[in-house]
Amino acid sequence: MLVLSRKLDESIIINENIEVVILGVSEGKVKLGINAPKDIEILRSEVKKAIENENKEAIQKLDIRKLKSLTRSK
Amino acid sequence: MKINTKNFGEIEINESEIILFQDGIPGFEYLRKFVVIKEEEFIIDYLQGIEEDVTFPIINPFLVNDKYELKIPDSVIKKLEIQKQEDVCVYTIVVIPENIKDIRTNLQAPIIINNASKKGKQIILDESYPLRYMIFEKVGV
Repeated sequence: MLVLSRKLDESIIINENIEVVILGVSEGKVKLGINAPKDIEILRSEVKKAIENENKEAIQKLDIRKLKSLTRSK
Repeated sequence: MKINTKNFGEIEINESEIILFQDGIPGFEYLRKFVVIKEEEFIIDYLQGIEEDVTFPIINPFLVNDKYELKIPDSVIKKLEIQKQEDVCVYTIVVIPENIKDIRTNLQAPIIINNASKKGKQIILDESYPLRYMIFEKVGV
């Protein structure tokens, strides 16, 4: 992992077309501004993780035999 | 081609049915090829992986939430080569826990499929959409 220190209002450029700016620093929180092309997806990591976990759970919990028996007895 | 699956046994797949997910699916970014298996008797269909035996239960979200609305971003329209709305299918992934009454679907990350180009992608909408939307009452079990 590349580790850099930035002060308020300083920024980082990634891959020539993505800029991350430090907009605010306060107790335990950093406000970031991100300039990037519209087709680049930017997500809070916990959001991405939550989606991945739901996807994994969907596969793991699938019990087709049980589902079919529940829907057949209609 | 034939594939072996845990949930459906050995199934025959027509090449023309294969949907290409260029970015894979979150958590499974290495899987690219899927088919939709339609279930005639029940509201839930399945997205079945071809390179690996994974089965995602899926549902048409508009059937369980008539207020569901989404805008497909321009970058996705371009990526999936969408030209007409009629070519687009929207599905959401369903989690079916031990207790069927807790059955839920992910409205925050729908799967968009363009039936004309045979390309698909799971897109992530904003957090105003529920990750876990309960659907037991709507599925008629």
